[in-house]
Amino acid sequence: MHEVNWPIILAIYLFLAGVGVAAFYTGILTNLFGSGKYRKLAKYGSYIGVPLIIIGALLLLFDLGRPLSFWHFLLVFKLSSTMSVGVWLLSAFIICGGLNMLTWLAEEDFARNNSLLGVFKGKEGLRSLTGYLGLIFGILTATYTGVLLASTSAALWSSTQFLGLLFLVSATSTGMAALMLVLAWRKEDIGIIHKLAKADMIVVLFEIIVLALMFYALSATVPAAASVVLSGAYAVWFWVGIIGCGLVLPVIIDVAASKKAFGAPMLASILVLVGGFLLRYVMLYAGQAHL
Amino acid sequence: MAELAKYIDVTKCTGCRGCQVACKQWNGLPAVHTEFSGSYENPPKMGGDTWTKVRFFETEDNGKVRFLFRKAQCMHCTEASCAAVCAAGAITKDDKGMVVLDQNKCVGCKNCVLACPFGAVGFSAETGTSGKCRMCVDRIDNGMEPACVTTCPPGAVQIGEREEILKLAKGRVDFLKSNGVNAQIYGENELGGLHVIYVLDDKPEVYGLPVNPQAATANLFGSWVSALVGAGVLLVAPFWLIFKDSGKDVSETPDTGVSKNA
Repeated sequence: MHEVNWPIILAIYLFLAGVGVAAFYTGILTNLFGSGKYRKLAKYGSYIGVPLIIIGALLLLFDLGRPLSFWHFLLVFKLSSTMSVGVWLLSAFIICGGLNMLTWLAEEDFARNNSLLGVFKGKEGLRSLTGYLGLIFGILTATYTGVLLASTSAALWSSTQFLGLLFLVSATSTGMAALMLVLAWRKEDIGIIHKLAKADMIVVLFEIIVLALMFYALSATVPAAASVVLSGAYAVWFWVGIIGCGLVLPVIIDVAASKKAFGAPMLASILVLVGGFLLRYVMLYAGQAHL
Repeated sequence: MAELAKYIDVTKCTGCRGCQVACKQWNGLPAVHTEFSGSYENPPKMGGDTWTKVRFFETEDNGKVRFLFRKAQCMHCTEASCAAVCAAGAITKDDKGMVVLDQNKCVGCKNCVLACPFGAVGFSAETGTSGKCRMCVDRIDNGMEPACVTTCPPGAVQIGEREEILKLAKGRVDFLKSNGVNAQIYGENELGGLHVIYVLDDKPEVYGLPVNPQAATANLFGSWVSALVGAGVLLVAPFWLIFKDSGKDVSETPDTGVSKNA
């Protein structure tokens, strides 16, 4: 294994952040377009999203050379530094998403006699405000995880303008998968699961197009860097793991599966999640292969 | 104050690596444990504890091997990628054009390490921070030359006002050309102008220098724009398409999509 400056812990962070914010904004968007029909998705989205983002931010913190000096980040805001933009997006998302989650938690059975959570009970206005803000910060956060890699001197990352888009699309797909997985696990509303599966299929097709365009361009401009992924050390992970298991197989399963079973969407969403992680792992490591 | 620049004439470098040692001594940098790589070049890479090193190259010219040396370090770019990406405010450019990393502010996220187009910034596990050449700004402020300049026996490394250094370099290139050497300057215009000016006796790529270095943030705007356009597409298909509330669809409720005054 070649030397890397940003190790596996960063790949895990990029993945968790993507799943987290996308589960959140999937919930908000479905409920928005569905005129309140998908409250359950909005609720589960916040339950999945907020903890994952907090775990991801902690991972990021522990990977610093000097974790206790992290507060230096909070003295700086500059647009040229994608890392700085990301720090503020994460902070904004955690605050908005966190408040949003509290309004849902306040309605749960266990919160009935909890005076602290009681403060957030019935706060519909706060819920929709934090939901819409979280939606914006979430989409920007999912994008930043890709742009962060693009604003470096690693040929594989900086020679394309599609990395932010790719990570946004992939995050959306994994966020939907995470929601599907939770619904299928709890054997809830099969109708919603199939709607999510259908939506995820569209996102996956979009992701395949973005991946194809990106690597077509990269093969022309920086063939050595692109070949590390397409035919080099990471080719098996890329073709079998990301393309095969992460993108093609889930679509086939969703198309072929019976409309009543919980097993098929569960399997498809696990595959999407594994593929989403591998995408970040392969891009992160292959990009650092020639440094 | 006028901008300064370091002058490096590779045709005078003997590969003694005195600059490497002087740099480590003045900046208090520890030795790095390395293994023999098959070359006298050592350590293999610049890093958080090695801010300058002499790179060794071998080329063949009409069946004759040429053994080439180039002192490498931070180029103190005008468009400094490391300063642009630093989220802790630890890297700044001073009025002399020097790019200085403050290790007290650095949190060790390594973004600058990945951003540098010249591989001149490294991470030190010992300090938990990034490190790179600071052009010995503290020595310069006290009327001294950088440690590497002071120590260089053949005078291959010098410091001065950037204008003067460029004149010196051009004079040297003219002299070398008149002697039949394919000489050229590197650093005059790259990345807005580097504050390290090389006199090379061959193409930049022979000396491991990028021909057309790009700032790490060159792609920033395009990346955001393409992603946000994509976000718009995502908003419509799949979300609106699949999850729209069909009860309020114009195709099912008469008149909502029609103007009665039309």
